[in-house]
Amino acid sequence: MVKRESYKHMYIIAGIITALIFSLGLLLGLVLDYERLQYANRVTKQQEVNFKSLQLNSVLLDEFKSKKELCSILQVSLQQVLTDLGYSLERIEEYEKESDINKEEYELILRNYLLDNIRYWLIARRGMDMCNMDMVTILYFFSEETCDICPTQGTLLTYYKKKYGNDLLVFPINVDLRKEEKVVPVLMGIFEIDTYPTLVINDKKYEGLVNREELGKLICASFKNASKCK
Amino acid sequence: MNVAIKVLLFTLYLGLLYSLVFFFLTFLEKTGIFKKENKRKVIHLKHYPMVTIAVPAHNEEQGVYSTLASLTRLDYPKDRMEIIVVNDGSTDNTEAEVKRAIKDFPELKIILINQRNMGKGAALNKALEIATGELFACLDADSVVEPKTLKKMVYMFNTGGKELALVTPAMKVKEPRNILQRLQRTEYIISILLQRLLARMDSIYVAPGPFSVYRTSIIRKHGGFDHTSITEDQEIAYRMQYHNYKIAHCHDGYVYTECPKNVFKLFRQRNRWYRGSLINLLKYRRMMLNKSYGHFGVFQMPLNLFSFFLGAGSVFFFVYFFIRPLARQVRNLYLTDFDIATWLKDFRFNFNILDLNVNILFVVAALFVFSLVVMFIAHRNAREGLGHRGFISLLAYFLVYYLLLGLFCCLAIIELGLGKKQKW
Repeated sequence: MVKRESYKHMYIIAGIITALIFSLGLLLGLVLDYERLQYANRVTKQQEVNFKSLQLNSVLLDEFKSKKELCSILQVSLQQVLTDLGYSLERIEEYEKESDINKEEYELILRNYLLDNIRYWLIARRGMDMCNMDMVTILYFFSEETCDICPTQGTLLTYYKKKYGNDLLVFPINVDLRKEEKVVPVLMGIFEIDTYPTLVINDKKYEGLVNREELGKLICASFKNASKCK
Repeated sequence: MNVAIKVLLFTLYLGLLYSLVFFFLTFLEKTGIFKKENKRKVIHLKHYPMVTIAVPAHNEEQGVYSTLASLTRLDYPKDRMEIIVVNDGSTDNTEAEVKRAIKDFPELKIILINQRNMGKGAALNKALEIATGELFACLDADSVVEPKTLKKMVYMFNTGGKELALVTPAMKVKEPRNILQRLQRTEYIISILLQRLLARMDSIYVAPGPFSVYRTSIIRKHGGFDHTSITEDQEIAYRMQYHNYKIAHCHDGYVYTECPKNVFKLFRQRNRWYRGSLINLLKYRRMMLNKSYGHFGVFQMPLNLFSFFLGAGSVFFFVYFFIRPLARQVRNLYLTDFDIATWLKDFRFNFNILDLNVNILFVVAALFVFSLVVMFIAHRNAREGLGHRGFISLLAYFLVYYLLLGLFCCLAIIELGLGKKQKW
């Protein structure tokens, strides 16, 4: 009968080496998470400066109504800031999902982004009034936790955002943050929102999924200049 | 990624990494022995035992003649060999081809037995019934044996002690023509190294059909081949381990075998292997984690079982990391009537180095580096070159072939679960 050799020592050494390699991977993951958080904080600070700049622009418009060049600056800046905000938001949401130890910090940053969106929405409304801008604003109320069709609505909004560029501003409001951020229920109360997704297109409310064709028509109908839809 | 998926990913990763590290360390430990073995050039046998070579053949008109022809070139006294071809209910010209070989190679003692189709195990048992050899070699009718192979294997029996029941050959792919066959060639080369290591740890779990050589008295004592098994070559190896016999591997005893030339045929072959493997794991579960079976029970059998989780896991994570995001993009396009022009409008390359999932990348990189090292060692061990397109074929091996086998593995598990039957 075969005399079987023991490999106990080899099992232990292999275990130690595996643990070392695995730990190195985990360590890299932690370093990455830390760097991502630093990045997210940096971007948030930049957004804060951008907001102050836009806010100042808006105040200047109040003071110097005749200076129409301020309107075009506002429109371009608003668009730029919102595009950056959109990209950063998408990225930080991903970081938040992948993070194991910095979830709370990321949630704070995401709350900040939510507030930014509401503040920009207010500036956009004001700008549209004062400068007679032909833009469409959409407040998009969605939930990641309780709404299965919201991603579809999100896709359609992104599509039209691509299509109309600077003339369409979309402000996503994640209602899952309503417990942490009291302004969300206030905003929901203003528009009497209790289902998701809900779109508020230039202050008119549309509940449930708005399909591609319908959404296109609603956006077009909201432009003052119908030729924008051609 | 939710917690359950993360746990699954890291479990598979740890299991695979641990196995690779273990085999790598074992290789380093055995390097001295391997070098000594590699230096062996000429073999002188003091004793030439009678060898029966059983060739089960079912519809093998294409290869049986050349298989028998390869036996004429064996560096072994022809009067110490008998060849028993069991024509297992062939419906083609196998019988005529064997008769042609009998006529053309009078120096060989070839016995032809015709029987109704009963499967490979039964055909081997038929040959075992009338075999006069001290050693009993099985040879698939689509395989060709290198001239020195039998002598090398007999040498191992002569020097390996009475408990040596079986010697497995170093199996290579015969004339790989297409990409799939080249990928299998790489797989077989790795397998030679693995078998060599496993033999040193008394953990070989398969006796390949092409030219595994048995000690006749031992397999007779234990009832011959299991004709009910769809993988009688695995079953006999498990049985030999179960009865604590020694199984050796002849790392330079080459035998060349035909391998499936298309995905469908490969699927059929692997489906049988994987299902057979699961059945054998279940049949010999008493050895699982049983210390008295040494490394075979403690490590190899759990690893064989783990490889099924690994196969299914690879497919799952491929879908999770690649197919799912792709499907999402296709869905987005579908929702917008495939208006690609709009989606590409103001395209911004929004890449940040921090977006890279370092954990996953590290997993992939660590496994890839280890696998590459194994690959290079395996090619050297099998005295094969990587070729000028070596690196590309290695990438294809890791990126495509592994995944394909993983998919086959999943299907085998499903079919076994559904109780689907398959003949040999």
